[in-house]
Amino acid sequence: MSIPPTKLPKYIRTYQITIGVLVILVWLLILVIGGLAISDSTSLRNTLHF
Amino acid sequence: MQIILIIGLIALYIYLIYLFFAYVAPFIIAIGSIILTLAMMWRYFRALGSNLLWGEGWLEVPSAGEPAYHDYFFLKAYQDYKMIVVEAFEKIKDDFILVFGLGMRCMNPFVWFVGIAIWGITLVSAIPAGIAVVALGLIHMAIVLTIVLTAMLCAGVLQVTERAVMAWQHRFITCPECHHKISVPLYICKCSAEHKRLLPGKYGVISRRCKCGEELPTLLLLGRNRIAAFCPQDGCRTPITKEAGLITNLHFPIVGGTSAGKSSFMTATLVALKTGIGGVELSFPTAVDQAGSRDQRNFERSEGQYLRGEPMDKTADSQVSAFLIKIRDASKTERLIYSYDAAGEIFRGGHNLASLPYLAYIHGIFLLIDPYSIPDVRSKYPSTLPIGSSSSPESPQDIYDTIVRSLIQHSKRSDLQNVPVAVVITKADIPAIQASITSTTPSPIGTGLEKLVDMDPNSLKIREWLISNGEGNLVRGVEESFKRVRYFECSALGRSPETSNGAAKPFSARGVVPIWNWMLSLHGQKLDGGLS
Repeated sequence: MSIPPTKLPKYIRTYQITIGVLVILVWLLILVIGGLAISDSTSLRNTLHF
Repeated sequence: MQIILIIGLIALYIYLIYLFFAYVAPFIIAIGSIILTLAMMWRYFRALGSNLLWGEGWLEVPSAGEPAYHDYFFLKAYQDYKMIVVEAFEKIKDDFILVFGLGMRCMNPFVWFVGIAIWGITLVSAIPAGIAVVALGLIHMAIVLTIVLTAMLCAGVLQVTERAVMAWQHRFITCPECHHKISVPLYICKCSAEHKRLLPGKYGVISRRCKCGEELPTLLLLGRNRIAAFCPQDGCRTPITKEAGLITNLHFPIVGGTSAGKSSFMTATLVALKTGIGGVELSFPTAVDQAGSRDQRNFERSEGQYLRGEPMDKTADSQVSAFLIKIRDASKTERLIYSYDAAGEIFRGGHNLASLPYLAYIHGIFLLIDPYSIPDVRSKYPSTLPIGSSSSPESPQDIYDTIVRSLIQHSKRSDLQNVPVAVVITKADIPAIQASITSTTPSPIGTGLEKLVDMDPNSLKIREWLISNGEGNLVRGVEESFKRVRYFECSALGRSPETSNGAAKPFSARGVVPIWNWMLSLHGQKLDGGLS
């Protein structure tokens, strides 16, 4: 008979939290890069007087 | 006048509606869509946080297969991901239904245009919100997949590396009872759960968590051998020693007829090694949780008989168990030695030894020949067999034929050729035999045969003695089938086992250790302190 765990092992919690933080960080990174790219292209357009 | 007023009011109403849709609604829809899209993304992050950051996510209950929790990246990461996506989707769907329902509630003659604007928000935000949430899900999945693939790769590499290192160092695990080669022993946790494949894999790369919570290493390097291991064969379940798979293992059958002196030969060897000859350390490996080695107990009983000068017990079983010892020489080289003392009866009448699977992986053969089992010796020295001694009824040729036939069944002939064979004349303490061997002068070895015959002077002398006593066919047969053959003579007891005239004195072996030294030196171990 299997015994369900009373609490998740610490290393699994660490993995979980790492994945969660990674997803958030990667998403923020994409937002920042995307924002910078849009901002750059806008400045570029302004510079070239489009 | 009243009609004009009504028409004017209608026109004003239409104009206000026009103004609303022309100037207010786009602003409301744009702001609303941004807010709704951000809210949808918030829903995903919230589901992610509640499952991964402040919640525990999906909880596994080990049931089928191995009694262990899967490695996080092999199951739980995926299940957590699924939970987050489903939870986020449900919440987002509820939010859209809520906003859409709000628009529906505005559908009355007074604020229907607000309802239309709210519907506009849901319609316009559906695309960016969908893209943002799907992108979030894909990023999450990509991160999980990258780590899962890395973990799988690591598990595969570690598993292959362990096997490669074991093969390189000639280490493998065998059952000392049923003699099957064991790919992975059955490991039993302290909670009695049986782990059938405790290797780097989906239950853990370097360790796994048993269902009881105990952490079990998956690699020998990290201490897998400290877990109780058993033979996985049905009906066997023999405990496997802690050293199995860690130390180079060597397997030697000790072959000979009944009363050829196999048990005495083994006991004499161990008694000599126990004294620390040549800086050798002898030990008896035990399995985890085993109070002591069965082989050690058997040896101590035989040692007692040996030191009291009493005849050894005869090998009883026809299906032999391996006798397991660990030898550490002066240069700290360790070898796990499995010796197989098969009862002489199984060589009688040309039996097939197919039931002895260890013949498939042997590293050398000790062919023990009782001189009185040679017909010519019996006829030359009919009355020289001491009182209390018995001779082997099986002829050396028959024993040799049986073992070679069985070996060919178990191995390729090319592999067989590389197996060293020690042909040992036992009971060489009998004066007539000793004198006969001593007085033998080897004939010159024919040209071209120097490379085929071991040129050790003592070996040549004993080889000649066998030929001169009618065992030329045996000598030729052994030398044709095996490349490395050396002949020895020894006395495992050092004297006749008879005890008729008073108190017995301890036995004292002669010439036993050099035989093992030659055999083990071919496998990188020296019993003489590395002097020879």
